[in-house]
Amino acid sequence: MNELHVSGVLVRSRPETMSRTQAGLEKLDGVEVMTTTPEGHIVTVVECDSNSALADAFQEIQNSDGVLSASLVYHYSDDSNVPNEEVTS
Amino acid sequence: MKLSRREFVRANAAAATAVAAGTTLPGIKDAIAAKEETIRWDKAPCRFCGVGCSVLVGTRDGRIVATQGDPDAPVNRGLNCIKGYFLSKIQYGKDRLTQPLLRMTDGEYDKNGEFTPISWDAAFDIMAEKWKGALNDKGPTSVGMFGSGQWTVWEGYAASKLYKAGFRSNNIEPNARHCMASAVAGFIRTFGSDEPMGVYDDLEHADAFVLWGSNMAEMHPILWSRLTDRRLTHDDCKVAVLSTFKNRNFDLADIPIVFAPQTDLAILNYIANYIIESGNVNEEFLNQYVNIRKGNADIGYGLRPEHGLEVNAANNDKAGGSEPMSFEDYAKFVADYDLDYTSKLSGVPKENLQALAELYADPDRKVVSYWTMGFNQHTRGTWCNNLVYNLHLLTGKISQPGNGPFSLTGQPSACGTAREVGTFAHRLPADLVVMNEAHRTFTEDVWKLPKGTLSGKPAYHAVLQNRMLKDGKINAYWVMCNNNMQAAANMNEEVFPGYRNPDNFIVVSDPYPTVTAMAADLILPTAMWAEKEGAYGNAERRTQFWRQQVDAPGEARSDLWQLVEFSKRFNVEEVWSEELLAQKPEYKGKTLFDVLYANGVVDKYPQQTVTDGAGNEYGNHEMDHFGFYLQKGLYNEYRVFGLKGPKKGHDLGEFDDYHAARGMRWPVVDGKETLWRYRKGYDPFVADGKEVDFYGKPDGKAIIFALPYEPAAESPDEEFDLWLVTGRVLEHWHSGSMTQRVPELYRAFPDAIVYMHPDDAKARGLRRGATAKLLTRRGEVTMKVETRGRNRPPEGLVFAPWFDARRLLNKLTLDATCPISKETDFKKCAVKVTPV
Repeated sequence: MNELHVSGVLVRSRPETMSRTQAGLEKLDGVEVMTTTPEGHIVTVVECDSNSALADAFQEIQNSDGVLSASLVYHYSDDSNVPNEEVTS
Repeated sequence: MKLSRREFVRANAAAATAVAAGTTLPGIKDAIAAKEETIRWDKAPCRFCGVGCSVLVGTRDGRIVATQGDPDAPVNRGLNCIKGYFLSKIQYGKDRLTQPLLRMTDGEYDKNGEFTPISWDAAFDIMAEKWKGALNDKGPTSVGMFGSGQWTVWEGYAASKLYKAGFRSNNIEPNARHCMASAVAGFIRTFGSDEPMGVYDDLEHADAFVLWGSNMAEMHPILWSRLTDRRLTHDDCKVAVLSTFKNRNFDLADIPIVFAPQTDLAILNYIANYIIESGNVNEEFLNQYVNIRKGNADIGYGLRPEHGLEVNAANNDKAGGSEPMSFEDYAKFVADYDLDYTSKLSGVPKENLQALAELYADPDRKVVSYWTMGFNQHTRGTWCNNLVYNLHLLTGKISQPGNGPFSLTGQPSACGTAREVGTFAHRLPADLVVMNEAHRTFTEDVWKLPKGTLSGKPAYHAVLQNRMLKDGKINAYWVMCNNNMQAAANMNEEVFPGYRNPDNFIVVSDPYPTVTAMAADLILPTAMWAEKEGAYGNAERRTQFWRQQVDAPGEARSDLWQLVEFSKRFNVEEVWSEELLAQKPEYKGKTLFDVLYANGVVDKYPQQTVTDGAGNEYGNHEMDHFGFYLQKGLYNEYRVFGLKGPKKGHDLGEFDDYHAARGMRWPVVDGKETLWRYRKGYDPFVADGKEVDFYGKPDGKAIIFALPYEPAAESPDEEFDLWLVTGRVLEHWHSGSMTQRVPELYRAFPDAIVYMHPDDAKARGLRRGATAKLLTRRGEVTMKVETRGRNRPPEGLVFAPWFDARRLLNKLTLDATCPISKETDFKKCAVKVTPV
């Protein structure tokens, strides 16, 4: 895996069915749920090894049961072999 | 702290997304400055739809490498939809056009020749020859232009000036005629002033949302996310969704309504009837601020005059006519649309109609109506717009936070450019029209033209332009910033023949070899979006500027450069009469460039370095070429129309302020934007002593129009037995000329498919995934059948998106229009579907 594609995707679901929606999202490849809010927000991070895989993942998120809307907040894309290089923050 | 780059990036993604959700992640620092130092970030409005999201554009080594939602933007608050995310790639398609191409044989222009690279100089030579030839032979109406709601503000302004003043031709239209004309006609007819009174802030104030023929979840996803937020966090908030088939919006709908095509007219009248019968008319509002008129009925379908439907239409020559009407007569008029009749006609269950009507009638419920192409692309599109205004005017639910009708826009500057600059065959800037002598005189003064330069006769509207090309009445035609060969209805019979008519010379300016470009005689390579300095105006009256981020490839030049440079090819003597020139002898021997652009106003601002607040420097190709700040000069001349023009309430702010702000909503007075128009306390133009002032009308009163239900131009019959509805899908935008060049988007939705009910498919020997032939009286295409998924048509109706250039859906559609707005109805015609 040479490329690094990471996105932050904000999903909106109905609060009363959020746990089911969340479970559905967690089954998708490359998708991790980071946190949720009582209002039905699901904060996810999606990581894929190519842009096209990311687009597919985005599509799967949107078509996932209970997803009312899904928005991209952040995207990082790097096709050089640096994912494990150390950075200082 | 040492992290791997991967961990660092994941932490940033999570933190930024959490912030957008209004929460934080324990253990992760707030939005670490993830922006690499080598990347320069600057704001720009998104290139795609009319929502007008702001994006941060990341540039490295002269190339856009990343974009992200702009957290400081009031419209999208850090969010982007999938289309916005791919913005960084639309400029880098492999088939970008980089030099002018002329059809030639043996070194000479030949309409049947092959596209051959030529210089800009040679391209303008042949264009000038063809334009002058047409002007000499047949006069100003024989030259035409088809422009765009994707033009920047100054591009539309420069084009309008070149045509209306320079060539003395009103023959200029935008593709916005296909999407917004009915909204414009509705606004002007009811309020005397174009564009919504409300703003997106209504999304956080309303108690109910009604979507009329608008697939907001897929077409305006960022507004949809704001609406979803309101629905889920505000007690007793209700969402009603009306459409002719089920779509994604129905997932959130409290009142889901699938109605038979065209019966929206009846449903609108039923709601008015319900408001009156339930005693919920706001009489004080009605008496003070509203007039009632009965509009002409039986107005035809905008087809060619010899068509049977036109011959039999009583009022097709006075479609916009009306007469005064009393409230009692209006109440009787809508009383015909009772619950039984309307439910039977529309196929909507009675309880759903009642629940919908109650949203509008309930005096304690704030309601916003949204609509897009379902209303506008309608042979009674102007009526639909008028009828929804009726509901807000009967109840006084208008021009205040959370209450009002709001027309959504498809293109990024359909409002800012096409409508506000007035690049239509009948319009001038800031709501002025060519038919009004005072408006022409004002315009001639601002443009320093001899009196009588501007023609008072509206020229050919968009659909008529195609017919006149076919008929040989327009002979020199310039298509810029749109893909009309793929968009205009009835392509086989009424579009393509005009482009290939041997009498005509067709020029298409585009970044890519679209279907339209391939049908042209001369293709001009165009700089797009962040390759130029620009300004767009979104659906909530917000004007947004951006700086040129990168250079265009090869010899690609902006539409603005093309228009202004071409003007140098004409001496005023070649386009204006001696009588006109006698009024301004100082113009003798000058070019249109001298008179229109180097006129002491447009060339007033000298060359300068463009910088942002952080001191970064940006290019400006047009400024380098012409030697003055062309965009600023054009803007400041245009601004005079809003500040001093005869139609008040169109004021724009200072040029430099827009480069600093995330846009401002007009009217902008003393640097302050206006949120709700026509209401005291919000709109500075409301007259003293008035609470509400619809000042677009001379008496300050808006108009309720009594208008009936009338059938569609073409309905299913025994042979063509299904309704065909066309539209869009999330991943593609309009004709797909930009988005289909992004591999990931193409992959997400590669080929057009036809959505149909499983029982309809079965009855025709089709199943999911099979190839079907769609046949209308005008043409045929083949598509794959989809019976599941996000769009679920009822029996008797099929839906197909129109982005696929290899399956041109406009071969099927009928070029029937609203007779008032001249906008095509792309949502209703009769189709036969068979196995291949």
